[in-house]
Amino acid sequence: MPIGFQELIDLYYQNLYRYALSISGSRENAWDLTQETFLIWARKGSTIRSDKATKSWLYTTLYREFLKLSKRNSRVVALEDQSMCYESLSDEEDPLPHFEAEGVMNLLMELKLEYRKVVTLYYLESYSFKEISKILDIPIGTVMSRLARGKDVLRRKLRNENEPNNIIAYKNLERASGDE
Amino acid sequence: MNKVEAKLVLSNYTLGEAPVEDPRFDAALKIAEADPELTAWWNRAKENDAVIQGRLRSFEPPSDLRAALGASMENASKKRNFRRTFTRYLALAASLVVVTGIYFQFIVDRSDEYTGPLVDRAFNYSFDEPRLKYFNKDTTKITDWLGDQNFDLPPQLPPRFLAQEGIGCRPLNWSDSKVAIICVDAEVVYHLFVAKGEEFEEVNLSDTFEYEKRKAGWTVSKWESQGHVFVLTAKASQERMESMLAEYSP
Repeated sequence: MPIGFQELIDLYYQNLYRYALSISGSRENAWDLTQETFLIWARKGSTIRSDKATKSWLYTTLYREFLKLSKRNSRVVALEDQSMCYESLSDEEDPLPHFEAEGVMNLLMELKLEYRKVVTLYYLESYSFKEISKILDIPIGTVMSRLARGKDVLRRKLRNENEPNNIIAYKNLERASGDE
Repeated sequence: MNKVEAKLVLSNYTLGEAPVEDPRFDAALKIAEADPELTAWWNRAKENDAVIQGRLRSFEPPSDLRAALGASMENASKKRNFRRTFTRYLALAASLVVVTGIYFQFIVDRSDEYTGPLVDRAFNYSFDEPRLKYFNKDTTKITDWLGDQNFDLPPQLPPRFLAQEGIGCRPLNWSDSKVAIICVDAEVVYHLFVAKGEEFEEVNLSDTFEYEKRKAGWTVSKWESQGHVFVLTAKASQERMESMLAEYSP
């Protein structure tokens, strides 16, 4: 039996809103995107059975709605980070300083959009890069690169560190990973 | 894979369970197992990511969002149900229209609308596409069916006509006289009308084929045989109709 509306909302609306806020950078847009995603579910009367597939469908739909919104607002985001280069990862020597949820969200929203899209899905749902690749419809290698880079930048921001300037080529590994 | 690349791969696996059958992860893990520094880094990365995940998941959405979502989804669902019900009734109505159309097109015998001498009536009826009652590709079954309907067919019918692929037939009641129409498919549809001669005495037919050219490339042939009158119509030339009647003598 497909789950009821309220149960569906209770299960997913919080993380969906968090994701919408992360990628849109606006509480108003995050509200609209979350609402539109559930409305599409209600209108289409989806027959998706499994919880996993339902969650994935909701994120995919929300992301597509975000792309439409971006297009309408003429805020088409140029793809970045296509150079297949990767900066060295932070050493993780120290534990992270204490931050409230609001603070982490604010720092997350300071990341470039291409990182935010990937990093937020990773933290909110512990999605693998393969699942993130499917939801965002981007190659796995790109997800890996952006995830590692985005997470590193976020950690540096949490530690109030400067971003590194030593670049390490990531081309070979990226190619080896393939797009699957 | 070197240490930097291994670090990069492991950084993608700091939350959740380790992947199964992932060669890149396996290779990176192997390097980490031989490198305490890398292992320590990965453990710290997992701890730090768990902290970030916890903080992010504790970010509170607006308090009134949940109620608003519930209300809007219920509303959308009601509209969808209304549209679905409306669509069903619309489909039902459309089906009725189609069925009614088929009924009037193929089932209702409108042959009484055709009047005049038998030959003209047969031609006009053929020209407007006759409504048949029994359909079969086998002409033997068509003639058998007419026999079952107490229609007295003559023993001899044009053999080439009977050798064609059957379409169907219908017994007609024209001016209180029984007329059978048999249709076959020979690239064009041939219509053979058969009636008892005594019921159409006003039709003066001979026991030889007579041909008439009609409008739009149609040809009509008529003859009398075995106490029956015959009218054959088709959108075909006289030559083709003669060919259809070959091997048959009235």
